[in-house]
Amino acid sequence: MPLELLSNSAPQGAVPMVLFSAGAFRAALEARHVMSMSDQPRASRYIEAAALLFQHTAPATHWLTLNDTEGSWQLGVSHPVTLHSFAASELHPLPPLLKARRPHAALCGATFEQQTLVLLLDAHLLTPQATNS
Amino acid sequence: MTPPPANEPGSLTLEQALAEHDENVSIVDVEEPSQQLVLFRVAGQRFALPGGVVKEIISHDQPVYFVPGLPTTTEGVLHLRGHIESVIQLNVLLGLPLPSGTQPGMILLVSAAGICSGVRIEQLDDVCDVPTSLLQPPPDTLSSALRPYVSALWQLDEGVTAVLLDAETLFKAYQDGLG
Repeated sequence: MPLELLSNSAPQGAVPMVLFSAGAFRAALEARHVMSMSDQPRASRYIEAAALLFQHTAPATHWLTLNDTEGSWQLGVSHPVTLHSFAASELHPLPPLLKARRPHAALCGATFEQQTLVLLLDAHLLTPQATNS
Repeated sequence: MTPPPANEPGSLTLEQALAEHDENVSIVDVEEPSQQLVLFRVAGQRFALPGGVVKEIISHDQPVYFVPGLPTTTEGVLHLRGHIESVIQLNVLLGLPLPSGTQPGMILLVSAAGICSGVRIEQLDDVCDVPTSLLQPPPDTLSSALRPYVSALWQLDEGVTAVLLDAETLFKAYQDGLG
């Protein structure tokens, strides 16, 4: 399913994000880094988000296609997968003590979706080979 | 009109009484340097932080959002007036057991070493000014786990001592992966 079908026009100054579940947690990637979404992994490189971020096993219901220096790869995520634009003031960098102990270098901030914490991920640092910081 | 009776031996005139009061007041050395301390407990032990580093005392009902993949001493984040702040527990750094189950205590918002973070405490005891002359250097007998993070001790009562913590050292140690 092309992700563009889900998109709405982003308000000026807002950051469109793709929100999804990774195991029991909500996470988000900047929408401009998500090329497409499919129900099954089709790329040669793929990994479930919960396994990549938290070393948890959680079955994926959708696969987001991303690019890194080696080409396309797919990130397995769970529903609901939504597109939402956040004002810059709603996107918070990770506090220093958490940044020092974060489980994955791609975990860079947090926001809230109806009182639920959403972990912000840096797509540049999110590759199947990424190591902990 | 009869003249007022002379004061009995040992009694005072009003003037003398007021003067004596002034003398008593002058005994208090208001110039003695003091330090504001926030006194609290973690795992039943009494600790203190300088009032200057404690920016806010946050009620136990403030929600803390869990962030996965972090050490057990990291509770998560607070959403506070448009910002998020980490919430950590000092138990492991201080060589104390982690609380069993959910024991919602208050959170001190502490700022030190350029870092701001919530610190979970079990109980807030007091916020008071203490003459610095009453603060004693940490003794050699202090446990090795605690020693790096202690700047002074304050004996509140006989057998009751509060440990004054160095927030900057605690935060740096936490950043370095301790605790």
